[in-house]
Amino acid sequence: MASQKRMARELAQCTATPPDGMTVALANDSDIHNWHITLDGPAGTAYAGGKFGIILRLPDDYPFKPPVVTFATRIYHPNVTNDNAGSICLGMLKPDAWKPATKLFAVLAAVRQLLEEPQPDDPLETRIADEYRQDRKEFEKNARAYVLRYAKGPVKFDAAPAAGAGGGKESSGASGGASGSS
Amino acid sequence: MASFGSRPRPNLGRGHLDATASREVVFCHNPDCQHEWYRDEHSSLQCPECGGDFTEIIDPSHDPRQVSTPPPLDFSSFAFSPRPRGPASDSDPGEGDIEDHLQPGQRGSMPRRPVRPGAGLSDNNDTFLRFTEMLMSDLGAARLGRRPDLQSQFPPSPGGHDHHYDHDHDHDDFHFSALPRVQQRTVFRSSGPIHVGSASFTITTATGPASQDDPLNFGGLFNNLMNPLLGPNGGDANRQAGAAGAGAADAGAAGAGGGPAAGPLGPMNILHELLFSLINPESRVHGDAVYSQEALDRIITGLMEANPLSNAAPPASQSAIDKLETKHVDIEMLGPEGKAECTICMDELNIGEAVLSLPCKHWFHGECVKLWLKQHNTCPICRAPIGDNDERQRSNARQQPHQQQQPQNAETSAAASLNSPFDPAGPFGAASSFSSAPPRAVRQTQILEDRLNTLRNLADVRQRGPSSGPPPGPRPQSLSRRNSLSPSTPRTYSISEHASLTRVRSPVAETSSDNRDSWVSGRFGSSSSRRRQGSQDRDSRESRDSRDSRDGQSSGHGPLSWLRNLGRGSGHNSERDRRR
Repeated sequence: MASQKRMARELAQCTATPPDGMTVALANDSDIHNWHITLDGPAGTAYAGGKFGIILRLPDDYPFKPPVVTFATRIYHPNVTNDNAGSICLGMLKPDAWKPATKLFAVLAAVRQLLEEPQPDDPLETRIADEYRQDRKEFEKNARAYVLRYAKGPVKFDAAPAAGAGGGKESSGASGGASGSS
Repeated sequence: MASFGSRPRPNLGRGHLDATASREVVFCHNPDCQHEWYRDEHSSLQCPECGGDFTEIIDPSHDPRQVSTPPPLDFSSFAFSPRPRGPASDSDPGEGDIEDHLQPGQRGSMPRRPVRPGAGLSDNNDTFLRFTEMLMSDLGAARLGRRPDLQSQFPPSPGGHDHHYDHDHDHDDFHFSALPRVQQRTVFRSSGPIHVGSASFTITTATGPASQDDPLNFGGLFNNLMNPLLGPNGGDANRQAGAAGAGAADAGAAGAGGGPAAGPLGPMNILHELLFSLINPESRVHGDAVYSQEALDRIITGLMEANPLSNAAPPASQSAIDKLETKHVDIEMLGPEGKAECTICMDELNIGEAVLSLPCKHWFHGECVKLWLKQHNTCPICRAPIGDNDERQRSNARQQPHQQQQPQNAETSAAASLNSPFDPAGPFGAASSFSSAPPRAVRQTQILEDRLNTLRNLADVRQRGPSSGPPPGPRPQSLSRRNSLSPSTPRTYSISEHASLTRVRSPVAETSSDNRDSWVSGRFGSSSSRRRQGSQDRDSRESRDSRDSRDGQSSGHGPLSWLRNLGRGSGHNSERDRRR
């Protein structure tokens, strides 16, 4: 199938030359729909020194539907739900903004970019967004605390239970932790 | 556990998994499935039975499954009881509060509201009375729509309360509902210490005697109602609405009034949420019924996620796809690197291969791009819309119904159902008493279509007064709103409609119609401009009020004038004022 082929190509591309600070692997070799990505917190940010697990799940009709990207590692970030689901608010992945020409490499790069430049104007966690805007020092302190607490040591991908089911739903169904919906 | 294997409705009529135990139980909200399973049995939250993903991890404190099979309510036990129910036996804490605010002198002395135009705001208790009335009236309406399961428990006209129907004819201001259970509430209210209730049902439940024998299928109605709003998730929405109703039953009167939070009535929702978080803050969540903005947001988010493509571009039409130009890859198209790939499948394209070129000059494998275009009419690379102008307009029109064509939809196909919670004409649309409905629908469709076209072309007309052009925006809305609250008989209906029309057109135009109309115009004419831009909420209240007024002298300006005044202020002000 064409989409399988594209997934394979993209996987090959991303594993061979991943975005900076990322390593890409399959969750298990038989399932090309489920990617496990490790991301080193970008230097110069509050996330530096942390290792973040990211789960990327490709729907069956990828590339016609966007992939679902979630953080498996808890992270203190305006655009990532502050819960176990780790849903990410990424404009290019929204159903009404997705286009098939977007490559997963670009998606992953965008996730990394999000750590370098949080987007407080399009937040999932409004409280953290406000803090980011108004009290950057406090924000960075909290973010570092999260890194120390969650993002040290080997990356665990099972921290986000059933992340494959589509993280967004989790946040509303399981914990209701997402205070903003964007 | 035992929940596996017996389709299609494995959990109907049998025990539920224990959500209070240590294992998390997930419940599928698909009304045809309602499967439940232990979360740790499946890796995903998708329903293993139906594949649906509108599922919920059950929180034992409000279990949605109880809602789907609500325990029978023993209404009759207190319906005829002459003794007042104390707050302890009353499931509605808010009601107890209201009682506390009533002066003893007022108890029993106010079977009807006095006509005191303009009065009321000065008097705390009066305000409370009127507030209660409004509450109760909404309550009645909400219950009408939301408790189909209870209908069967209240057979029409058991001998005991036949005489209450007589009230309907003996007193102008007693307009008891034909619906048995509402009537029962009425009985209860008038026998209790607070006599407010009797007046309130004057307002809402004027369904007309014809309706009492009609079996109701509110569930279906709610499906119809929610479908145009929520698309394929109508079923879920229906469940939500049902949940609201059942939760309301638990919470008693005040809870039921909050029911509309799940309904389609826009500003009314907000009002009700306000009222109920105010009066009855502890009843904010009952099952899936919500009374706070936050909780509502959560449900809406869930619904949107269940239907994630609602915002995306619509599919391209087959004709537009057929019109796309087929090209054969040539040297120029390959670009400087001499290679090209189809960005969809990432396969390399060689010279001579046939590709499909979009108007934006991007080209792809025909098969690949068609797969995409059948879902969205945009270029996979630049998202430029495809299709010629006609096509684009049509697709725009297809997108617009969400906002602009709402009134039209409401008037035509979904008219009955959308109005159903408040409109007896909805449930009994086919009944003989409402024979005037079809022509009206046809006519108004045309009017609304014209209006819609005007609206599209001249968006700024919205700002002008009625004399400078047809008031395009709010009028259809107000029409449908008003109609939705009209009583079921053709006679009164036409009055209400006429009044609303003339009211908008000109404050002085209808003096020639019958004196009821002129009464209405006298009351409402002067404020017509405000109303034109006013909220539906106010409109509907006024409609109710106007019907009230037709019923006789009893209503006065009643709860509506103060509510209207409050409505103009900010949310906070109104809250405070209502509290007084």
